[in-house]
Amino acid sequence: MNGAEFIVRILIKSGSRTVFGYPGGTVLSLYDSLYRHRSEIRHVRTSHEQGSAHAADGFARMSGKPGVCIATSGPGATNLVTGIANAFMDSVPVIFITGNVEHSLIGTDSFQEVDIVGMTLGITKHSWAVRSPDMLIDAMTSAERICMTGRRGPVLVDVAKDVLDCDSPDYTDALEMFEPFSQTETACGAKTETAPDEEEISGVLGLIAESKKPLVICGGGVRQAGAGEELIEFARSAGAPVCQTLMGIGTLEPDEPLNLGLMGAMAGKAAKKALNECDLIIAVGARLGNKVADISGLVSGGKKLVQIDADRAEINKIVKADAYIASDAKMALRGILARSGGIAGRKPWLTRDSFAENVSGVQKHDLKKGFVDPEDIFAAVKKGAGNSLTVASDVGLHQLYTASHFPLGPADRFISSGGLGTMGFGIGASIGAKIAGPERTTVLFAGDGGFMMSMNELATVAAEKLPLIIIVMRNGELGMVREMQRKYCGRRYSQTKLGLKVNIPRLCSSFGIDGVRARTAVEIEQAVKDAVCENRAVVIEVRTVLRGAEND
Amino acid sequence: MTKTMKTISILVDNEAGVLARVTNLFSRRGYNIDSLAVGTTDDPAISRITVRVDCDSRVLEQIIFQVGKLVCVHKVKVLDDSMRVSRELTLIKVKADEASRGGIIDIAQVFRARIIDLTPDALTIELTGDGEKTDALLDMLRPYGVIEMARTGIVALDRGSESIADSPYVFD
Ligand SMILES: Cc1ncc(C[n+]2csc(CCOP(=O)(O)OP(=O)(O)O)c2C)c(N)n1
Repeated sequence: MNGAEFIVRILIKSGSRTVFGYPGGTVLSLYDSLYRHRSEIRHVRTSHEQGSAHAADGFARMSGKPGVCIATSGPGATNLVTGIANAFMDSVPVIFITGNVEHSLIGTDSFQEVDIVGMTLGITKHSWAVRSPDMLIDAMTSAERICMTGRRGPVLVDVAKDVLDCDSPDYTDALEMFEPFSQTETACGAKTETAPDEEEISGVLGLIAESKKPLVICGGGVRQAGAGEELIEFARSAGAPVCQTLMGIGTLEPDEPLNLGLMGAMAGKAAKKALNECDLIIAVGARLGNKVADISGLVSGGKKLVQIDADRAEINKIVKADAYIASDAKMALRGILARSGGIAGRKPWLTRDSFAENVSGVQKHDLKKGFVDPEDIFAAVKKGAGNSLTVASDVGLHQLYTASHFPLGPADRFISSGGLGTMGFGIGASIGAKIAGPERTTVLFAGDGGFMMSMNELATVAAEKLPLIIIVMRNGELGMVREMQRKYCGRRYSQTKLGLKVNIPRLCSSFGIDGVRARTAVEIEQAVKDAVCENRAVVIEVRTVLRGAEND
Repeated sequence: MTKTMKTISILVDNEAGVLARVTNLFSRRGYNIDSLAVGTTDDPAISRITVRVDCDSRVLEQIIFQVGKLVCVHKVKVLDDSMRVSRELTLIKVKADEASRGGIIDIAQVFRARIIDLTPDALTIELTGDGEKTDALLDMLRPYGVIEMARTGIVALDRGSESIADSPYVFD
């Protein structure tokens, strides 16, 4: 057995049924093995390695299992870098496998040689520069475990071509002995989740008891830990309303009165009021990044902070917490609930009456004929698409609109690039998400800028016959940057007017995908319904106007 | 918060690329390394990194737990300033002719440094110390003309029987 065959068989034994990637010279033998095993493992070739990386990322977000992405050396590997960084910032488990030049050529600037391990040191959880069969065995038998334990994240296995090509007698035994990682294992080991400490729990309970106005910030860690139910139970017993970060959206039911929706620039009135008036912030699985809130400012203004995080390094990172639990959100919240006699049954100090209060005070515009207001777009798509959706977004104003205006709950999945804010993420990610969750209607909201950055992947959507529903919110602008220019550059809109002449429906039909230009909410709803009904892909272009929150 | 010089010991796998991972983390997160020394331990599979960083207590905590997340890192210990012994080896090559040689040797003696190489126009001094002594010696030698020098970086251990095995920061 050669290294390539070993890799493919380990992936199969781990339960990977789909991998994403793009072939090339150094991974010839890997693709040969994939060909041999094509009935056991599906390989999706995208148009560009970045698309593969985002697809593996979307697959992982959707399935809760690691995505796998393969690329060749040199440009294949460098094309992955944005995708690796994206997965790292959002703590998504992806196994990236790259070929490299033959081990004897490494360090000689040989053709298509790059030090991809060196380049990605700061954006991988771990990586291996594999130059021998031993190292390949070590890498492939521990990759999934490292991705999945503790705070999740991407790993990179960079394999010299000769290791892929050559046989080793050790592979058979290693394969035999290999025990696939099982989810239940995540509960042990120090680099992994630690059970909550009783003293830490007491500290947190003490602060909650003292607080009159506690507010929960729910991040992506809650969903990753499968702790949505515990979170709402906790919030109810503490009488605390809940705001969500972009990664946390969808954790609570949209009609839950304690659910104050999205935080940050597009936060609704209720969320802003809660953040201003609360006396205690309880951050759960949220790293409190600078786009969420000015946490240092809030704490120095007298608010207390509790952090619950699986990653001990997140505790006290931005500002010193008054109490913390360094543990996975599910275990921590269960620990609190088991002892919460003292706080149970408190009346919430703030709730909101309707979902509309979660939506920022964006003024409605007098829209020209043929334009549709974003709120009406979301309502029409929701009506047409139904329940239990996968909703993905690209990056820009439309992304924040989707996160705040589209009613997303625990039955849905929201897939969006949070930490890196990667334009061009959407199409690749929804390809992966649809493959991981084929039973769900999958809708992507993209801006016209981000769509143009990644529309090459429509070829993949067509080739794989993926019934994606892609809504292009055509505002003719790089909306989010334009908003910054409006605020900070005296309305000098340098390079943010797109002036796009492209006929999107015709572009799509040349890819073999239905393209529709919808001029009214009714047309949108109908186009969505038709696509769902006929189980086919559609790109719906809608002219609209997107503006940032006026009160920001 | 006040910054002070901290001495941190890190036990890592003795493997290719490990030092790059640790130093990459320090530079990426903006922790300033004042001194760094690496070598194997009594267990050939494990190396010990001794790093000195000028930082406040919150950054120190960040360093411990960020470094701890690296798969190649096993233990981290912050050495107490009053409860550690530390040493740095320095070699200094100074211009020395017949006229100046005597003065330089006198200085070296005061610092308990040794002369380990001598030629008609230069001599090389070896000094072992805790770092500060090295700077003082260097100041004294500068007027004679320092040709070049090399420092190992500081290595340190706890006093008494305490060791890194007693550290609460275990990341296995
Ligand atoms: C790869 C990349 N390049 C640039 C940016 C900076 N950027 C953030 S949002 C944005 C505008 C996005 O425009 P569009 O896709 O049309 O969406 P809109 O904001 O109009 O909804 C840009 C350029 C980015 N986030 N990612």
